[in-house]
Parts: sequence; C-alpha cells; structure tokens
Amino acid sequence: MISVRIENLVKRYGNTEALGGVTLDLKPGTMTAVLGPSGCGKTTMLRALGGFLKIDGGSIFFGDQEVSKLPPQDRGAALVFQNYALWPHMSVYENIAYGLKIKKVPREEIKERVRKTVDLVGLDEDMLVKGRKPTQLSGGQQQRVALARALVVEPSLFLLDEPLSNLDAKVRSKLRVYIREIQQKVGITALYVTHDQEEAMSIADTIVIMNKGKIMQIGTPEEIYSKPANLFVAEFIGDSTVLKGKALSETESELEGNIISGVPIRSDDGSPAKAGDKVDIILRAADLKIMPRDTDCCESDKDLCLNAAVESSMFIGFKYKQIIKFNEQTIIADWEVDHHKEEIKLVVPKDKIRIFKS
Amino acid sequence: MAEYAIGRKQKLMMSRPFKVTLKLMAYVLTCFVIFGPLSGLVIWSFAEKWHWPAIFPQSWGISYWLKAFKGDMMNSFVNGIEIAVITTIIVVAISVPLAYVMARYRIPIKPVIMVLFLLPQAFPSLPIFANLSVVFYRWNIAGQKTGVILVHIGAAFIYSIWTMVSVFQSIPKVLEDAAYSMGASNIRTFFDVALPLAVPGIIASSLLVFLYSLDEFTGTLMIGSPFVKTLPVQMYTSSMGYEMQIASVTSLIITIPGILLLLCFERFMKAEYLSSFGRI
Repeated sequence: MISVRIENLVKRYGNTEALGGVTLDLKPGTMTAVLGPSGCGKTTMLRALGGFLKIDGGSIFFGDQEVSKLPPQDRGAALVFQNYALWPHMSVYENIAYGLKIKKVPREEIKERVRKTVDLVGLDEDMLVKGRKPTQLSGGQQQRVALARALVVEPSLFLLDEPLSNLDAKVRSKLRVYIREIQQKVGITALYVTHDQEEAMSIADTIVIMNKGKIMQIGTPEEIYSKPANLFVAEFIGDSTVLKGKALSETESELEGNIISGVPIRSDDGSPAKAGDKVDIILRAADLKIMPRDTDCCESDKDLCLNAAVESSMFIGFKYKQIIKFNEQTIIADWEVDHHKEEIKLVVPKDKIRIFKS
Repeated sequence: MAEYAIGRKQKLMMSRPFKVTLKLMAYVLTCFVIFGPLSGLVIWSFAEKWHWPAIFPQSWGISYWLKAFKGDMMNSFVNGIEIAVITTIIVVAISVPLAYVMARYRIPIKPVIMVLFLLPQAFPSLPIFANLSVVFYRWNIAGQKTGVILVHIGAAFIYSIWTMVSVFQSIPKVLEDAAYSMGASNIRTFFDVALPLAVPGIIASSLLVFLYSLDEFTGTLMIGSPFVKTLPVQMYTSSMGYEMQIASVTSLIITIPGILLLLCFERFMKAEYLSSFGRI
C-alpha cells in the first residue's frame, strides 16, 4: 500500500498538450477514478504512471521514491487493459504465472499463489488446466484472467485503463462490483480510467474529472455530483440543461424574468460575479419537478417556479424524460408523471441550482 | 411486373445436376490453366523419340529421368537446397531482430535502411551481378558456394525484412506493455511475447526467401558457374544444348519443392504481413 503523488505533470504531442501540468495525490489503499471525455488526457496520465511514455515535465512519486525516470519494469505498477492484452500463445495458467516466473518465485509457491488469485477474482480453478487458452474464454472471463495476472505479483500500484468498456452492460456492472471488492480486500492503491460516469461514481473513493489535459475537479463522488466546481463538471456529470442568464449581484441572478436569489455565482478563476455579468444556470434533469399548471406549490423562497410546456416525453424505465419549452429555451427534466403536451409548472429547488459566470 | 420478377428469379435458380456440371467445368478449367503449361513438360520428360510433325512422341520411356537422378542433376539439386537453406537461415537470423527494432522503435534512418534494401531491385540485375562477379573474383569467392550464398542473401533480404516488419507491426504493442509491467526486461519480452507470436510470420518469410534462393538464376550463373551449379542453371545449360528432355525433367524437379512449399506457405501467410510492403 503506497501513496502516489503526481506533481505538475506535462506531456506534449507536437503542439498539443496532452497533459498540461497535472497535480494529483492518490491516498494509500484508495481507488481513484479518472473521468473525462475522450482525448482529455486520462489515458496519457495512466501510461505516464505506468512508465510507458516519456514525460516532458513534472515528477511522479511512488511513496518517497521519484519514479518518473524509471522504465516500467522497475516501477511495480500492474496494468489492466481495455482489450485484456492476454498473451494468446500462453495458457491461462502461464498468463497468470508469468509475473511470478519473471521474479523467479519457486514453482510450488507460484502454483499456490496463482490458485489463490484465481479464487480472488472469482474464476473457476478448472481454468488452470493444462492447455486452456485465454482465447477460448468469454470477454468477462478474459478480463478476470487479466486482473489475476496483474494482482498475483502484488503490485505497488494498480492501473486500470477502461477495463470494462469492451464488455456488454450486464457483465460490466457485475465485474465493476467485483473489481471494487477485490481492490478493498487487497487494499491496493488503484487508478481507474474510464469515460463512463456511472462506473466512476460507483467504484471510486475519489473522482478526478479531466478535460483538455487539465484537472477540472477532484472530489468524492457525492461532491462531484452535488457541488460541481465549474461549468464543465456540471455539464459533464448527469443529464443537465444550461440556461443563459444575467447576474444581478454576487448571489442573485435573473433567468428571463425569474429572479434566483441566494445562489452564489461561481467562476472558474474564483473571482466574484458583478451585476450585469452573463451567467450559465445549470438545471439537472433529476432535480426538477413537473407539476400541473394550476398547482399552487411554490414556496417562493425555496423553489423557483417556471411556467412552461412539455413538448415531448419518453419513458426511460422509472421516470419520463421530458423536453420542456420555456420561453424559447429547452429544458430536460426527469419526472415520474408524464405531462406530454401539457402546460405545466416547472419547479426548481433553488439549492440544487448551480450558477457559473460565463 | 411482379410476375416477371419471379420468372427471372426462377431462371437464375439452376437445377442441381446443372450446378454440379458447372462446378466440374470450373475445376477442369482451373486445373488446365495451372497444369496445362506443365503438361507439355511432362510429355517431353517421358519422350525417348519425338520428331515433327507427330502430335505425340514416337516412343516413350524413363531413361531421361534415370539419367537425371544419376548424373549432375542430383548434384545441382542438392547444391541448390544447401545454398537455399544456408541463405534462409542467415537472412532470417539477421532480419528478425532488425525488423523488430524497426517495427517497435522510432529510428531516424529507417527510410534510408529500407531504401538500401530496395536498391538492388531498382536496377537491372544482370549488370549488378556482372559487376559483383568482378569484385568476388578479387575476393576469391567467385565460383564458390560462399559467393552464391552472399548474392542470394543480398537479393532476398528485401523480401524478408519487409515481411518481418509487417509481422512485428501486426503484434499489438499492449501485449508487450503487459509483460513490461510484470517486470520482464526488453529482451525477455522479445523472446517470451513478440517472437512466439511472430513464428507464423517468420515461417512465411523464410519460405519466401527459400523459394527465391532455390529459383534464383542470374546471380548464380554469373557468380557460381561453372563450378557451382543449381537446378535453374543446369536447366539453362541443357536447354542450350537442345536437350529438351533433360530441361523438362529439371523444370519438373524444380517445380516440386515450389508447389509443396507454397501449399505450406498459404497456411502461414496472412494478408497483413504484406501490408507494409513498399511502405517506408
């Protein structure tokens, strides 16, 4: 169990900065998920940690040891890849045992440790029969073999590069729980790269949101969801609508005739908003309520009430996703009752609104 | 309209015997195209006496086949095989590590190396070999197997290096990354991961080189003769002496390893091995 520290990491490809000065701490024994759209630099960061690319600036510490100049062999970080990267010419047993063979562990001990690890990742022991090739296994089983191969060497750091994105939804959610359980059982420090926010939310202690080679926010899943630090995070996490508005003061803004008071306006650089600044008002689909037009529901200081109309709706399982027209603007809301083609009152709890200076 | 369409469809659906006949005809035609040119050689090789204007030989026999197996021919055959085997071993032994390095690492002079190997193919071979023979006479390796092998190595290298580069490029890099992260050194990873996965490609590539060396004529003639003879050279000399029977027997013997090896080759060859051919 080690702590990992990345300081001001820079990686350039030609003129583009894949990583533009990233600083991040991984606490010992925790799972950190790096989440971001494709091309945000998350995989580059993982590969830099594993030692697979030359960095252009900054440093990486495993515990107290500075490792940024070390080749992957000397770092002791085990990787799990999106496409499993199992060696097709070796049997399942040989794949898992390879790392121990390299470390010249005695044969009997290898057998014992491979068997234990296979149990740990939830594979049958008959996977280990002679000549069983990984290509004969299903995708989920192959990824379990890859997990076993990485874990059997007791690595200092566990790096997972979108390990589940090649699997179908059901296997994915099952294996996700497994990976979390294993990580906690072994107590290993882990970095999990993904573009799937549900996956990141459910698996990690800490979530790192990245965009264009920069970290946008670091926090627990709850913090990221309920207190997005900026517009990017607010838009990226969950299904939400961004509306244009105007600042009246630091804590008061106007949305087309509706005053939102008591919600502080943030900005990416921390500077307060002045009256007259343009603002982005973020409404998360799951926070909104749709009421019939004639209800007198609004306690004016807690909720914001907008007169609007539902234009279309679709059933998404437990709620209806409804497209709402409000003064030429479109708002998306998830609500239990279908109000298709009705004039409605959209109720927005003020404490759920996020406002950013645009 | 609809009726017309159905009618057309029915016309296209052929009866079973008709289909079988069509297939058979296709097979016969294919066989004729492949083996037709060879059939003349087969007839010639068994002809004891064949004078114009007879359509078939006046008398048949196997005396030329016996002659072939007794005389120089067997000697040339063994020579050719020996040269081809040594050439293949040396070419593959050099090109496998070289191709791996070229496929995996960014080498600034890579285009130069590739062009260097391609260069001998860019000029007519006859003047090149004639020139080489002068040099080889000076080094005292002309008329010796060493000289012939050297010429074959130089000419066959391009086939080997270019196929091997594609072979290594077709092996996903993550397979090696996985080994590195397990603590395997670069050399260990090459032997444990890259090399075993490249084996089919290496076999395909060495078959290419072997067949090239076995069939190589110009260089062998210019450098090796009259002391080192391989089957193609032997065939050339006998057809110059208007011994059609000997020439036919020789060409049939040359064809056999070619066909056998190409059958194996087809099993190991993948289209992607040739994908980087001509790409620098």
